[in-house]
Amino acid sequence: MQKLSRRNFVKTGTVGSALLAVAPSITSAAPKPKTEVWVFKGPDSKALMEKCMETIFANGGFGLKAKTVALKVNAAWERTPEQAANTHPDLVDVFLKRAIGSGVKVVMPEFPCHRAEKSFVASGLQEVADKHEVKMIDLKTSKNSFIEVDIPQGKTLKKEMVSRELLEADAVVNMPVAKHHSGGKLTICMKNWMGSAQGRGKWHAMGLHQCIADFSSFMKPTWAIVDATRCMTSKGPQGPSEDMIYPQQVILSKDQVAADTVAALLFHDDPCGAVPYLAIARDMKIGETDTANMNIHRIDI
Amino acid sequence: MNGAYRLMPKARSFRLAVRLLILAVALFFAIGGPLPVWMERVVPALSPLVLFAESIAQRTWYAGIFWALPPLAVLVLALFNGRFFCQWICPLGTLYSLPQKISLKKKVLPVRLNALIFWIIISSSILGLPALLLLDPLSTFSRLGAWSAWVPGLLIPIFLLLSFFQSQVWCTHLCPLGYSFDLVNLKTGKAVFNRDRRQFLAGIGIGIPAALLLPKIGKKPGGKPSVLPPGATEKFAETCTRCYACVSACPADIIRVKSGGRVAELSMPELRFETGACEESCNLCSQVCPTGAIRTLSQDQKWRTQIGIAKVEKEKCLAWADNEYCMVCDEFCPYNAIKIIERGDVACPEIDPEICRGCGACESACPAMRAGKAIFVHPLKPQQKITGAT
Repeated sequence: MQKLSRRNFVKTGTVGSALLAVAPSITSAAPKPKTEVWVFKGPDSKALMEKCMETIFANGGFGLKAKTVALKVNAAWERTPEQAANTHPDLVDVFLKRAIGSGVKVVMPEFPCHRAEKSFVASGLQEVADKHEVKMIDLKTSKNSFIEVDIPQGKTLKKEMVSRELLEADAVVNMPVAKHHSGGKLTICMKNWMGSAQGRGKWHAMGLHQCIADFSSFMKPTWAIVDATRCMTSKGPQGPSEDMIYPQQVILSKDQVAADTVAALLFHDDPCGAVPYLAIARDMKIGETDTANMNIHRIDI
Repeated sequence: MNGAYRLMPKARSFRLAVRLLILAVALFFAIGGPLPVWMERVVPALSPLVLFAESIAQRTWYAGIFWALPPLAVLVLALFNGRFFCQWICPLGTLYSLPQKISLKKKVLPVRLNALIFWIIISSSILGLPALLLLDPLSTFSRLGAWSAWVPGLLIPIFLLLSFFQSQVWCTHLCPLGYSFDLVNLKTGKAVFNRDRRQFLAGIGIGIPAALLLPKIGKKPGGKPSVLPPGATEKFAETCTRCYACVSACPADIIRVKSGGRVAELSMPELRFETGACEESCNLCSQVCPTGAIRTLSQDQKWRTQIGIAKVEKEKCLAWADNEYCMVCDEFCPYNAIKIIERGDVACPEIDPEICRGCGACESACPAMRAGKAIFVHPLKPQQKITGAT
């Protein structure tokens, strides 16, 4: 055993304290915090959504100072709730009730594919919005409500005109229905942003999947809520489809990529292999695509 | 002047008030706006001349009781009161009478040609083609609802201007509807017919060849054939009176006034898919047509009506030519008429002609830019009914 001289004491002491100083960062880096995902499952959609809202408020809600929340549903098509082309109005009903009850003001901007007079009404979402005195904003006709933004991380999509309501809100909630899509493979959260972008038509010519990922590197929701109560597995995004599945789930996360991944597992075993924009999101590190790195809370109701 | 009615000053101003009120209401109907869309039909459907000429031409009583009663009432009124309609109701007549007081009382048009026009319409209608029926004053008035229609729309400004020189020259000298009231008037009819025997003969002499030749004049020199509104009959171009009720009624704003084409197609309504498509759950144009040129279709009938078939131009298509993930045509197709051909991982579109309705959703949404859109609707003539689809 070596004799502890003063010189050695100082040496080891210096190294030791240096190690100690570095240690916390090393120890915390090793077990990386997992991405939280909640999956609420059960036959009663409204009960799922109540639980979902409880979870949101138990995990920071919309932020301490949030006064306005922009809710991006999918209300693009003149299709009934059962046909699963739009977010189910029962879920939106509960969201609006609980969000407004918490004291925030909610707006619902949407750039529909069909005329809003048809799609907002047939989807049942106009009725729910009216019930809670929430404004559904038709971005198709109010074109001056777009603002140009830079997308710093964008590889292909560098600029886009985006709904003013989404940009100006204190918190943004992305609440799509999960469904098959012939060009995008699946529509979930990331793809749902196309309903807030004026230049979306061009994305198809520029490289659809890269653009979806690019845009999601810019638009990140406070909460991503996926309506997977009933889903089209073919003939999306509009349907009608005879290939329906009924997962009876609502999926919640702060990470839209994680929410998309978990929802995509209802359709495909290998989400990143089946949906190109998810693989791009993984490579661009926009969010989590590996379920091993997620804390998935499965809650049956 | 208005020989049949010599009104006291008080009665005169009462009549003026009534006429102005009707003019205002009719303008409101023609322009539409927030009103229920069937009101577009009220003004042009009031003409008994249109009702009879079209029914004769189409060999069918196309108007239901609801829409036939008002023009029949106008006709009965004329049996006993002649031009009562002209003097109290006709909104175009009111418009043309506004400059009456300051009219220069010149003879711009010395001869009456109304009998000639009337008999051309009737004789050509008997041969199945109501030539010149677009001169019907109520269809003319209804055109005010569609400003883009400047060719036939010019009738109103021209005759309003002429009214400053010769008071109500249209009403007294040219209007075929007004003439029909003179003719059916039990008191004056016989004398009027005898007076205008030459024009009767000339009308037949012009009307019959017109009916035979009109569809053949002006070969389309490579012009794009028009896609017509759902319910359009095979003789749509010839039987449409250009009232543009359908143009005003279309909520998607895709029924537009054609420019170019054959003579018989002059300024007819056609579907254009640059900015929108014929919506799956809409049959409004078929409800407002006052002439039967567009047959009334129930929602289900409209849903089964194939007005055209889309065709993919693969060399321009983002999927076929550029290997892009697109399928916007499939996305927007409400009928699932796009078949997906998988090439590697990229889906490419192909049309199922058995299912495609020709609604134009694909054409309006196609985002291809390099060489323009890559999918176009080609009209089906005659339109067909799809029976298998559910």
